[in-house]
Amino acid sequence: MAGVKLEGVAKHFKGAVAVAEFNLDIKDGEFLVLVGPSGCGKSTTLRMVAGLEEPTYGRIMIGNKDVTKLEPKDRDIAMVFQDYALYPHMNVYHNLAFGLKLRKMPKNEIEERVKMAAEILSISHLLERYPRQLSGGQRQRVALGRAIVRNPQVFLMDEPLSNLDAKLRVQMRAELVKLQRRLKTTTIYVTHDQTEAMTMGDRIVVMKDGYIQQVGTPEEIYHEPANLFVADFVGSPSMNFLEGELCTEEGCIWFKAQGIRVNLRNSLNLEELNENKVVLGIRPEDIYLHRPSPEKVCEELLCQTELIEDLGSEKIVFLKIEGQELQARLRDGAAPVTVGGNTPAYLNLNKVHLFRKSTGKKILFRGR
Amino acid sequence: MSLPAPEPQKSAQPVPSRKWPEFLRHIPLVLYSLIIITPLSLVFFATFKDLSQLYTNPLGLPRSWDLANYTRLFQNENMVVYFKNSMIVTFTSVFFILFFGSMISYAIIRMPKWTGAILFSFITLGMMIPTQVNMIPTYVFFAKLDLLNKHLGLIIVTVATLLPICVFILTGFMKTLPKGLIEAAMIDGASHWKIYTRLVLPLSGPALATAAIFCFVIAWNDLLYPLLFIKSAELKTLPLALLQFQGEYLTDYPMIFSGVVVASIPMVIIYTFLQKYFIAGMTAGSMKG
Ligand SMILES: Nc1ncnc2c1ncn2[C@@H]1O[C@H](COP(=O)(O)OP(=O)(O)OP(=O)(O)O)[C@@H](O)[C@H]1O
Ligand SMILES: [Mg+2]
Repeated sequence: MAGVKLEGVAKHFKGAVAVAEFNLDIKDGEFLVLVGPSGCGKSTTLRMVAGLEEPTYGRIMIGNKDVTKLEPKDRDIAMVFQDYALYPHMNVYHNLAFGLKLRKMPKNEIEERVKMAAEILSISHLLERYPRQLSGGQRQRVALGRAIVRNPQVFLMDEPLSNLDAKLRVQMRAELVKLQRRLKTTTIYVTHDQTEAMTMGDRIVVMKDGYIQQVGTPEEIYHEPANLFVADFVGSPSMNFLEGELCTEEGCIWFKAQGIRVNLRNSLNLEELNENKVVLGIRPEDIYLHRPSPEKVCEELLCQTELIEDLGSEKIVFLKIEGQELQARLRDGAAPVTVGGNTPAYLNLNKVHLFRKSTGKKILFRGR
Repeated sequence: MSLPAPEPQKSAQPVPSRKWPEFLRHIPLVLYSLIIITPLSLVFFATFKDLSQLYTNPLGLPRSWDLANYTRLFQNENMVVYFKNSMIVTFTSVFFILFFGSMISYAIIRMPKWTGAILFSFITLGMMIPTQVNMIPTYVFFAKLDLLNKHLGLIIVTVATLLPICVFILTGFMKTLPKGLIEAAMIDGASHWKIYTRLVLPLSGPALATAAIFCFVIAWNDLLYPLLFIKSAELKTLPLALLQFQGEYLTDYPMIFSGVVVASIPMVIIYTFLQKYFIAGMTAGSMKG
């Protein structure tokens, strides 16, 4: 078992920057998720840890060992690929045993380890089969099995669930997390699916265009997004954004947009900010359509309802205010609204986020 | 050669009209196979006839399936020796062609893109140089190395001339192997040698079979280099021996034909064994495994 440390790691492909600068200290036994849109450099980062790509700059440590220049086979890692990459001419047993045989492990020990891994993943009955005779989910398990029999220092997984259908994906997600808790092996997991990231990671790294946007626990990422990108990327439906300006009136900070005035009831140093164009963000579940209990500090806005999506356990209400759109998520009972009518919407001011319009960076309130 | 010939419909039932195009499509195939099969069977039948019978009845079936020509062939001539020589030269050559060719191809696909491309074009350039061009230099060169009139010399030159085709076929195939497989093996701890022997070679079966058949046929039938290199009768290969028959049995066609038939047996056997892979190799890359 060991942690992984990336120090100023960068990867350039013929001048194009795939990963700009990656600094991260991954703790021993941690489940770390790299998440971001397509092409942001997640796979490249993972492949550099695996040793399949050589970093242009920087240093990679596994445990206390500098592995930057080492071959993949000398790094004591295992990787699960998106397309599983099972050896098609070997049956499941030999797929699992291949890595152990190469390490010259005695035969009976190999057998023991393969049997144990197969049991953990409940694929014991498939050991004689060839990859082409397996379903997608079974192949996925074999790919995982090939990683765990080796008992490596680090698991690397590149979108291992993305080829599965939705239901199986949810099931495997939970199983993977349980497996990782049980084995306590440091894991770096790549996905472009924010739900996967939120549900699986001990910590999440959000990336965009080769840069780390934010590192944090799922709660931090969700409730304290560091910038507009993270706020928008995480959460489904995603956060609502209103564009406007900040100004001071009657000793309070106000957010103003055309036809919208929100008293933020919070203190900010506007001079320090030296720009007043901002984006106000609020998550759909922090907008209420009926008057909340008085201890919640809210601002009331009058909106038109445009559409209601009923998802069974919750309803998504699409609202419009002065040409800007908002979505509210209602969890309890029937929505007290009808489509096409006007309704008051209450924004929970404790859950409001402000971002600079120019850079997208979060603006911190004094009080929090 | 069991191409099912479309039988003319004898019954009065009308043929569904959309069946016709398919039937028509078979016509060129049938004609083509007739063009191939007819002379082959004439040659084959002729080996059971004596000379007078061949002249009086060149096209018909032989009067009896008499093996006299074959017996004579093996008794009067060193047929067994020639056969053995051909076997030695061809099998050794094909073995080394595949051995070196697969290693070169593996190296090409694992090299950085540009180096691989340069090496690949350098080697396959060899396919474009006609034999006649370097016949004399090769002869002089091999004479200096004292490799003339030796099987070893013949094997070396065969390997050298056929290696480019082999590399061409194998590299094309190996490039289509999923890169993830090789990466998975690297992470599993495999060295280049293990990746080559345990992963790339077993998965390249179809391409290896294709290259093997190609090279086998060319090497087995090769007349030019044996003619150039081999002097001693006991070292001659089959095609060279058959050439000499032509002088010896100037008009004894049944004897010459018998030699030809004997010479082609191994090719038929090899092809039958490998054809399953051969077809797969020819269409490799057109489908994902
Ligand atoms: N071998 C390569 N040569 C050149 N550019 C590359 C290479 N591999 C990746 N890139 C580029 O680097 C960037 C990051 O790629 P990467 O595969 O890491 O993205 P990703 O975050 O994994 O995306 P996805 O979610 O689509 O898998 C992309 O812009 C890609 O085009
Ligand atoms: Mg990727």
